[in-house]
Amino acid sequence: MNRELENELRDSLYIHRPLPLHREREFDARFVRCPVEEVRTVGAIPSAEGAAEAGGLLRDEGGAVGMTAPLRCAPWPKDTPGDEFRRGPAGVPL
Amino acid sequence: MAQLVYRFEPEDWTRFDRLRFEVSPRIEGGRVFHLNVSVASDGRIPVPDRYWREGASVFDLEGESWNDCVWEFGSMPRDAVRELRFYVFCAGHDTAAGETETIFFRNVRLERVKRDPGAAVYPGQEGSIHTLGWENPIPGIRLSSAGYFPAGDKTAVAATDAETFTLTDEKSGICVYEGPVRRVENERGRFAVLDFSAVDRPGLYRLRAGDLVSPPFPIGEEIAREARWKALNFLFCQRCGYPVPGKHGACHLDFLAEHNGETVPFHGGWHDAGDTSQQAAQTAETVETLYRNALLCKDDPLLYGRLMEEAGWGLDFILRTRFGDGFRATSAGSTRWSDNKLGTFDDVACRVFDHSYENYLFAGAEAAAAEALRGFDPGLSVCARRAAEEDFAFAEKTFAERGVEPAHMFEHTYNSGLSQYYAVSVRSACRLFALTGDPKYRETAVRHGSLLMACQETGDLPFAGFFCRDDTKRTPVHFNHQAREHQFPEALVSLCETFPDAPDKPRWEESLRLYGRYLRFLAGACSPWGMIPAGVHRIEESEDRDLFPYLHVTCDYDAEKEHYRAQLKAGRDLGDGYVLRHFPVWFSFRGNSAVLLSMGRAAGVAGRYLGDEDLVRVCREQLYWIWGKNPFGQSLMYGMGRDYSRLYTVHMGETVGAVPVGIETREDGDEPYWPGNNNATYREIWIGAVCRFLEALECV
Repeated sequence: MNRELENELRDSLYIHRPLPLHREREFDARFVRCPVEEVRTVGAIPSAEGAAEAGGLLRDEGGAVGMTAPLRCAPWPKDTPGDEFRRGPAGVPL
Repeated sequence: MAQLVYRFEPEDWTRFDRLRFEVSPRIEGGRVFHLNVSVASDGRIPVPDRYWREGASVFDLEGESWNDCVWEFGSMPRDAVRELRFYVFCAGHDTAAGETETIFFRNVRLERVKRDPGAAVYPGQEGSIHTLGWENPIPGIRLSSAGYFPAGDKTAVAATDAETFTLTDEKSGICVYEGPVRRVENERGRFAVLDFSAVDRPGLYRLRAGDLVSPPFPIGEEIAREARWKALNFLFCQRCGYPVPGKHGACHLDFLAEHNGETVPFHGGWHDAGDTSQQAAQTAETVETLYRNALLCKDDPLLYGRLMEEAGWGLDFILRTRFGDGFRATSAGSTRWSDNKLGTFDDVACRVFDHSYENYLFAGAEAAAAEALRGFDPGLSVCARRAAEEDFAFAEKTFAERGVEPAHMFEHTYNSGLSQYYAVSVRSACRLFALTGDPKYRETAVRHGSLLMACQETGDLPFAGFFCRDDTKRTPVHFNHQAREHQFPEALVSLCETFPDAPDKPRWEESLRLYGRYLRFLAGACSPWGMIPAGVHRIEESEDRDLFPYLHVTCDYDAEKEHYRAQLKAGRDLGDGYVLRHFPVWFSFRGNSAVLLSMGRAAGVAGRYLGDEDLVRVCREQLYWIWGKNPFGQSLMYGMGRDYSRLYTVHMGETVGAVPVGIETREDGDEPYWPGNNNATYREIWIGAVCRFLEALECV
């Protein structure tokens, strides 16, 4: 096994902390290096909706747009099985 | 759900290869961040599809910094886009995190990438990254970048016109092997095969063919050690009810299972996947393979000890979620962080069952634990053995009373047919006999062994040997998500090894040999790739309304019947009413990692017992497929090898050692499809796949 991994395992206290990801080795890391020949900005004005609606559309001084929302909403009635929640539009699998 | 929505008059985005944007999320004290993105298009093929497999992607993000996100959506229909949506579910929060998430976006844009014949990703042709088909036309060498074992075949598949290739020692720069590039042309495409099986000396190497150079990769037994450590890393990070550094605090403490006036907490074991659910049967199977892997690593005390520790974490869960009367807490859906307070709105009531299949399965895991723990933790060994004996007795009682249980869509053993019950009971009975010497286990093992063999197709078909769901032999066993093909040869080998003097032993061995012949028939069907096909199907399976719910959870038979027929038609006609499918028939849940790894273990188990190197080679090839020797050239085990895929991790965050549900197919086809979307089910991390991976690894 290579020395880098041996060191990482030791630093992880032999995995009582997660090993480093080395994102530079991801296949997807190639994407940002691809030369681009045409760009089109998505120019429409977005709207903050759902749980973010109350906070409205945020804008920072640099022109970024954003949303804010509570992480814990209470749409789930007591004792709702988790699976029922899971059948929402995210299509999250078993 | 909190969402930021862009709406348009329908726009044609076909000219663009990808969506790119920068995003900065903030949660006070947050440690894992993710963002969902979706597109709605009303064009020729509407997106999203009914199961949301196309049209959505998820990004794992760094908090409080700008993340440059690229969604390669070249394979996605996008000719009439009317909506772009960024969203997160209000799915609770980790112990350490604040109550609110704020997310900023900038530079949201569409990009067309410059076509460059020399580029590694864009091949200078219309379309985007390679996402569909056996033949990848982009120049490159697709190899098991995590490495190869010294024994057996070692090949890579390339897109090159070179006539020869070399294998170079990375340290010395010396060419250690030069060979001809073998041309393969078949119905799947045109391929160049680099065969360096002759090299078995451990080391670090590179392949070269013409202008192509592979990344360095090892040959050596050490790759198994690396893989076990990384799988351990994944499992540790999937622990439920435990504070995982950098990930989350102790979680799901308010998931409770109630039965007969008693309540047990259901946190523990390992989360099922990125959605933080729990499937106790998967935790049990993972316990079992961890103990077996530990016993294989006794000469490596650190790894042995750590495997035993992780197995013990899971064992604790499966022992304390038994109610003691045959019922146990079996599963809970989640997809959220609950508040860990009892009596509040987000408590989850877990499912409780006394199914015989599960109790047979748990008895086997507990018996394996009892065996492994004898010299390690004798008291716990006794406890595990007692639980195994009790659970086996409960299983015997309910199996005699009820036989095969109705399918329950949220239980991960839903697809089990009668033969699966026989197989799981035989292997558990053999283990219990070995532990106790009690003849009642021999009686059950031998009797169920005979009943199991009665479910095997033994006719004069050239591909006979597969097991059917029952002794009518109407429907071959096959899997499309959860996969337990390996239990059949495990049962037969257990019988042979546990009762070596039994008069039935020649019959068990003959059954195993016939099954091995079936696997060998399948094994070359995806050549030059080593992926073992999903198996044979009967043409009339698509007409079986009653069987459908066992095999296809969350799907409606009437809605999918025509697709079922179309998928069988897309397979290879074998005659006599049989079809071979490379990939399973499936609709909603897609991805074949567990399927091929289970079949790989099946081949490995049979091959080891029979001394059949061809079958062991089949097992190795499934690991090589996972590690990047596939048409997409991507390692499917995050952190192993090079060019590993980003995975759908959601609440867990990207994690070394994760294996996704797997490569899928598009629509009703039967060729590999690996879209750029980071979406479920195909890219979702899953302990089911990692468990099967460890099981296959035992056999090589």
